[in-house]
Amino acid sequence: MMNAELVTSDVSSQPQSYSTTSGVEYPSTSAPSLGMGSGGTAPPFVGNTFSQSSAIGSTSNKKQSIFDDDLNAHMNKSVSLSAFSHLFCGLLQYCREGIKDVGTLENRLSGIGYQIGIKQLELITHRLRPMKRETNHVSMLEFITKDCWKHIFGRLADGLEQSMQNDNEFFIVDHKPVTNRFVSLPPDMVTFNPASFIAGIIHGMLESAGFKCNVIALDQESDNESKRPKRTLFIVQFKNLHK
Amino acid sequence: MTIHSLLILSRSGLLVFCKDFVKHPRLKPNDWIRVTGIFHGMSEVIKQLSPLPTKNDGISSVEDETFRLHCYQTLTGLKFIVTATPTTENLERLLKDVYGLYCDFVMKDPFHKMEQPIKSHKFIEQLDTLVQRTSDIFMFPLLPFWQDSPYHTYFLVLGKY
Amino acid sequence: MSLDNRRLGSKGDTAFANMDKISCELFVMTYGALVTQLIKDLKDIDEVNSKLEEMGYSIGCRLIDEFLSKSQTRNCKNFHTTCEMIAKVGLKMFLGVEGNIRKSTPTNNVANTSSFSTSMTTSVSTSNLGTATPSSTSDDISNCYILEIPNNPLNDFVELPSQFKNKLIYSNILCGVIRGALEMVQLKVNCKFTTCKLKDDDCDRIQIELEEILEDVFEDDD
Repeated sequence: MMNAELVTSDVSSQPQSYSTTSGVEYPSTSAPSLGMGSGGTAPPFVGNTFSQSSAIGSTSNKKQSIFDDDLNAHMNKSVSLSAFSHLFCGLLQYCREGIKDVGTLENRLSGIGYQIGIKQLELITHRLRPMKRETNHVSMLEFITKDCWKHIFGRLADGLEQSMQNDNEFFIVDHKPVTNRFVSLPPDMVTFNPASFIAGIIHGMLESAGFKCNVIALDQESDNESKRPKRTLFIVQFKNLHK
Repeated sequence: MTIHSLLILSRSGLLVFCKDFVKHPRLKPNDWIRVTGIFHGMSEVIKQLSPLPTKNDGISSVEDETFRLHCYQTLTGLKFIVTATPTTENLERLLKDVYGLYCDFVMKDPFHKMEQPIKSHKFIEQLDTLVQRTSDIFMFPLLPFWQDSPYHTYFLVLGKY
Repeated sequence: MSLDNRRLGSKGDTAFANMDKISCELFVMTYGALVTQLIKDLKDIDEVNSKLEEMGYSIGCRLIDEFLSKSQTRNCKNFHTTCEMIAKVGLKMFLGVEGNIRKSTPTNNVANTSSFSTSMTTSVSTSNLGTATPSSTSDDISNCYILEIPNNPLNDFVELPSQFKNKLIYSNILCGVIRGALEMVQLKVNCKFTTCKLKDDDCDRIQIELEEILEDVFEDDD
């Protein structure tokens, strides 16, 4: 339960930053250390949360602390895609409020995805490879396209390609990103890509793993010559990558 | 066996979607607005005419020697209307499928506004495929039957569409 | 009654089985991120609550069509059945969890023009958890029900920081969804959270109170 302890200590020592993450269990602080075993310098927990929970336990309805829950309890739970699509639809509508510019909208959406990316990576790492941390950007990308994709979207990504021109540029390929499935873009917003949300998730994962980068989502039309179907590319550009 | 047109009316009776799979000889898209307005009104009146207190969906089908109309009204008050050649079967099934598409590709599209005309191109694409498929399924097994039909010529011409 | 419940339950199971699925975690984290964003943007928690409700309303207006289409539902006999339908089929279909319906007394006694209120009794006290037996309520139809959601997935991974604990109604979006969805089928309802697991209550409860049946009603024959 290394991670749970880490979280506890974060909660008690940094209540301010915790509050901004709306109380979702994984605080978005100290992203690079990521607690993949490397952040093992957990201070002894102050017990703030625990004393609270015991106080609650003494009242009539016995409420367990969230830290008593098994982290893997939610692992194989699923909700319907519709619920997510509707939520995403609402999210997108909210993000569009008062915003005309496509770039700002995409940034906003990917910013929301970013928060999710940080939390998801921590959770997946805890489950699949505790105490292990990817230090190579290519293996990190592979980890994302395989394990993380499987975890989040229930299938593998459709490909991982490296740019011919740039060594530090990679493409994650997805033929049917879940965010774009039901969205039809109006003519004045054809450049907008709802998959920016997923780009944000990837961005969050990579940066919290210590790889500074930019991630952009781009739709690529189908190519009849090579029989390539329509697909979405997530372009990952690493910054100051040291070999 | 041929679907002529497909229309969707909103809760308040506005024509929010209209697609002619076979071009109507007289009615232009603007005329459809007038026609569906009257249809909506008629349907509402008929609902009130029913002597029984049980639910009444208004006009659910109109049949004629030259065409057939089916209307599926949802509990939310939407009307899905299809017109087709007189012997086309399973129109109700088709309308339910269209309703399913509508739920997916219109209702989950953040750029669609309620009560506004449907512009979602994914919906239109899916609809085309659906109608195409429906026509195909019923065309081939029933061909021998069709050869005796007085609509034979009519059907063949439209079938190529 | 129990038979009816079981029928609805299996209907819900089938409906959920036929839906495309997505990881629950992505869903709840997206919701978490949305709430965070709202808190950041709006500052005031009351505003966040009402914004969530408003967003839920617009989701509900859109979602009801899918619910009706995929669950093959036609008419609900009365408001009780409607609520059962939400609990057993609606919640199951979209969130994969089931809720329970219990009768409740409306908080503010609005003059009821609805035909549902003819036999309103106050047989079940809402605060008493153990005594509510659904079978005893089969005949009389109230116009106020409590929807219990024992395992609200939105609560997964969430702990409210103390400064929000008594203000933020984290899952308020659900109230909006129910209100929006029912309004599309001519039922004007009032929804609010009465208890919430995140506030150390034992269960999430939403009170659904029927205000009126909107005019051009044609689907309810009761």
